[in-house]
Amino acid sequence: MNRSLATAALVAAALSMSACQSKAPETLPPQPASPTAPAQSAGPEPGSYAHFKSVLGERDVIYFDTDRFNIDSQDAAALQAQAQWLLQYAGTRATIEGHCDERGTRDYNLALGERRANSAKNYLVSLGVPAERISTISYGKERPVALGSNEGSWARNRRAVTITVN
Amino acid sequence: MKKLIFALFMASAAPLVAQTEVAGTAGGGDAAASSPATAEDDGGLTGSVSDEKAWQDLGIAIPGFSTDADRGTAASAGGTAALGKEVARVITADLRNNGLFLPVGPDALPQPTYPDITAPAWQTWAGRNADMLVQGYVNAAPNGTLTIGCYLYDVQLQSELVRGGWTLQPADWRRGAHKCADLVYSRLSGESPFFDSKIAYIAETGPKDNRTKQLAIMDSDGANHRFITTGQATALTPRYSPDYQSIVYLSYLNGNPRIYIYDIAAATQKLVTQSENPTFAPRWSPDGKSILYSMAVNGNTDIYRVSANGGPSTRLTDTPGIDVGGSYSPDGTKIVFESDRSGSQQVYVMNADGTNQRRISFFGGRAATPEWSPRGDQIAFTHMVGNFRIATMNPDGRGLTYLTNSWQDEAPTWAPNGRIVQFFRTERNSGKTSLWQLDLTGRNLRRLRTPVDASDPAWGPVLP
Amino acid sequence: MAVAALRPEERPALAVAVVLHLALVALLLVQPRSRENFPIPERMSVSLADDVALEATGPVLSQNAQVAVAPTIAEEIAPPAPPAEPAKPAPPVAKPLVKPAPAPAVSTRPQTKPQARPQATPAPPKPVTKPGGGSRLGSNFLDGAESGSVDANAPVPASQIGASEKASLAQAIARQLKPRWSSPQGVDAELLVTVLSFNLNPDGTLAGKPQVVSQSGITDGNRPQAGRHAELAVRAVELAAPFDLPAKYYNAWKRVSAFRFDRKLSQ
Repeated sequence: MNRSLATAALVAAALSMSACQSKAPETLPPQPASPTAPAQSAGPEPGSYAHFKSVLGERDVIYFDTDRFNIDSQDAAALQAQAQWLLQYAGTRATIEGHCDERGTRDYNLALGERRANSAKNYLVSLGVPAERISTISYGKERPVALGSNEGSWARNRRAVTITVN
Repeated sequence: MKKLIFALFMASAAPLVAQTEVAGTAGGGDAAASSPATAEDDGGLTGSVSDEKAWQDLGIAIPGFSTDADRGTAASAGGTAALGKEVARVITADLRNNGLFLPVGPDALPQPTYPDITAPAWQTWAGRNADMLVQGYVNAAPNGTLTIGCYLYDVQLQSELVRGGWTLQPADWRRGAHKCADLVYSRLSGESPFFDSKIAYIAETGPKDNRTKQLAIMDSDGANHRFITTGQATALTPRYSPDYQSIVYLSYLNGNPRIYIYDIAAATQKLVTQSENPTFAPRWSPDGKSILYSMAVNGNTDIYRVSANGGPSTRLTDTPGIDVGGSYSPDGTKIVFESDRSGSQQVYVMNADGTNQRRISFFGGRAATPEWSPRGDQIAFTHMVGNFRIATMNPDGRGLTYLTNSWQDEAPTWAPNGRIVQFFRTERNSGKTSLWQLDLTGRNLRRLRTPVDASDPAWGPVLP
Repeated sequence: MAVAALRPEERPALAVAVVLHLALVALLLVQPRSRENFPIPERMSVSLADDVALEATGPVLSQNAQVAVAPTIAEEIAPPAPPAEPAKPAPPVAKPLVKPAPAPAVSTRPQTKPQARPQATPAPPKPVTKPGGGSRLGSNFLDGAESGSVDANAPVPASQIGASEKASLAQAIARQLKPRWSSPQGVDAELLVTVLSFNLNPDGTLAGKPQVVSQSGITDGNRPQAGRHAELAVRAVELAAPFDLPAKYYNAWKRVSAFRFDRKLSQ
C-alpha cells in the first residue's frame, strides 16, 4: 500500500513536471552581469558594435529558406538575444541588412531582401524594441558571404544581419 | 502471313521514299493559295517550289568606301581614304554580328574608284560569291564636316536596291557607318534598323563578395566605351531615356538604394523621388515623360509612376505580394510586370493606369523580368525552371519559346527593332558575368566584348 | 560439390567454354561505335497528274516512214514485188540509234516513254509465208525513217496538252527555280507564301516582270518579311530565266498563272 501510494505520487509528480511547458517568457529578465566582463579591462566597450558582436556571437545573423522571409524558432532565439542587448543599451540604433542568394533575379531579390530585413525588424519591435531605433536596408544578392554555387553557400547567403551603431 | 507483313512494310515505306507534291493541273490552283479567279481562268500553268535548304546567310561584299579627294580629316589620321576603309570595316562588323549576312570586308576586296561607286564594275564582283554589294564614299568638306554616301546593289540582277547619305561632324563618323549598315540591314531583312544606338550597362570588377559596380555606356558595337560612375557606390539596373539625354538607374550613393536620373550632357544626377523608403527597378515610358519604379514600404513592394520632372507619384499596384519591374508596351497602353502574389514570381499585365491586372504566365516554374518588345508582338522574360532561361511569349501568354538554356541567363532587354534580345549570363561558382545577344529566331548567339565583366544591359532607341 | 562431381576431362572443357562465352559477351558489348552516317538521299519530288485528256496527247508518229524492205526467205524466189504495206511502228524499235522520235525533250521523257513503248510493242507483224524475194532497198531508202510529213517538233495546240505534260512542265520550272529561291529569315518566316505569275517568250526568257498574285500566311511576327519574301520570289524567277523548256509545249508554258513560293522545313 505504501509502495503503491509512493509510486503513484512519484508518477504524478513526474507527470506534473513534464506537463510544464517550458515556454520562454515574453520578456526575459535582464541577464546578470557577466563575471568576466568587468575583469577584462581591455574588453570591448559596452554598447559598441564590437561589444554587440562579442555578446551575440553568431546570433547577429538569422537565416531563411529559399523565397521565404518568415522567422523560425532558431531565428526567434537569435532575435531575442538581439532584442535583449538593444534594450539593455538604450542609446544604440540597429540596421538590419536583408540579403538573398544568387539564384534569383536582381530586382526581385532587392524586394525580397527588404522583406526579410523588415520581417526581422517587426519581430524585434514585437519584443519591445522601439521601431525608430531600427532601420532596414536591402542588398539583394549583391553582398554574398559564401562564394560557392551550391545549396550550402546559398543557405548561408539568405540572411538578415543586424548591425548596431551608438 | 509473311506476304502480308511484307506488303504492309512496303506500303508504309513507300511514302517515306519520295516526297510528293501535287502539281496543279490546268485551271486548278493550290488549295492553300488564295488565287483570285482571273488566275485560274486564263488556264496558265500552275505549280509550286519550296525552299528546303537550311537558312543561308546572304553574301555581301563591302569594299572600302572611296573618296572624291583624299583630304585630311579629324576623324582619321590617314585622311578620308583611310577613313573610307574604316567605315567599311565598321559596316562589315555590324552586318556580321547580327547573323543574317555573311559579309566580306574591305581588307579582302579590291578598292573601287570614285566613279565606280555609282556605276559598279559588275564583273569584278560577279565571281566572288557575293549576292549583294555595298559601296559608298566619304567626302570631307572644307569646313571639316563629312558626307557619307552609301549604295546597295544586287550583283546578280545588276540593279541598285537603295541609297542613302548623311552629313556629320568628324567625331560622329561611326554613326555614319552605322546608318549605312542600318540601311542595308533593313532593306534586306525587312526589319527596322538598330545599329545606330547605344547600350548602357553595369561594369563589374572585384571578388564575388565585394563587387565594384559602375555605370557604363557604349555604342551598339562596343565602341566609344565610357564609364559614368566611379564605382564607389554600387550602381544597378540602368535604362536609357528615349531621347538619349539621361540614364535612370539605382545607386547606393548615400548607403541606401535609391533611383537617380543622370543627365549625360551635364554629368549631374538627381533623385527621381524623395522617399524614406527604398526605390528600385526604374523604367522609362515610351514617350520619355514618366518613370515607373518599385518602392518597398514596410517590406511590401509595389509599382509607382512618377513624372520624369519630379512630383507626386501614382501608385499602380496594391497587393501584399512583391510587385516589381514594369515594362510599357510600345503604344504606352499596357504594362507588364512581375508579382509573387500567387505564391511564386509570375508575369502579369495591367493597363497603364493600374486596372485589370491579370496573370499571363502559366507554364510552371517562376517567370520574372518581363520586357515588352519595341515591336509590340512579344514579351521577353526570364523563366526559372532549374536553369534560368531567356524566353519569349506573346502578350497573351501563349507561344512560349525558349531562346537559351544555360545555368543562369537573366534580365533580357530588346534592341530598338525588336529583333535582337540582349541579356547577361552569370558563370557558376566564379560569379563572372558577361553580356550576350541573340536573334529572335534563336540563332546567332554571341557575346558582347566589354572591358571587364558586365551585367544589366539596356539598349537605347535608334538615334535619329 | 558440383565442381568436384566433374570428371577430370570435363574441367578444362568447362574452362574453355566459360572463356569462350565471356569472349562472346565482350564482343557483343564492345561493338565499334561508329555508325556510318548514311548520306541522306536527295529529296525526289514526284508529281501526280490525275486528269485524263480527252484527246490522245501522245507523241506524234510519222505516218509515212520510209523503210527498207526486208527480205523474206522462202523456197522460191518471188518476182520483184512492189513495195507495199510498210511495217508501221517497227522502225522506232528496230533503229536504236535514232531516239524514238516522239520524245521531244529531256523533261518529258519519263512520262512519254511509257507511252511510246506500249505503242511500239504491238509492232512487228509476223510475215506469213510469202514467196521469198531478194533484198531490195526502197527507192527512197536514203531519206531515212523520219521523212514523214508530220513534223514531230511542231508546237502542240494548248488544248491537246494534257495534265501529265503540264505537271512535268511545272516540275521543270520548279527544278530550275529551286537553286535560286531562298526565303528570308525571320520569326514565323516559314509560314509565308507568295504566288507569282509571269509570261515567257518562246526562247525561255521572261516577257515582262513577274507579278505577285497573292500572299498568305502573314502573321504579326513575320509581317516585316512579307515584302521581302515577294521580292526574293521575283528575284528567283528573274535569275532562273531563261528557262530550259521544250519548245513543243510552248503553248502550255508561255504563261505561268500561279506559281507558289514557300518554305518547307526539311527533315
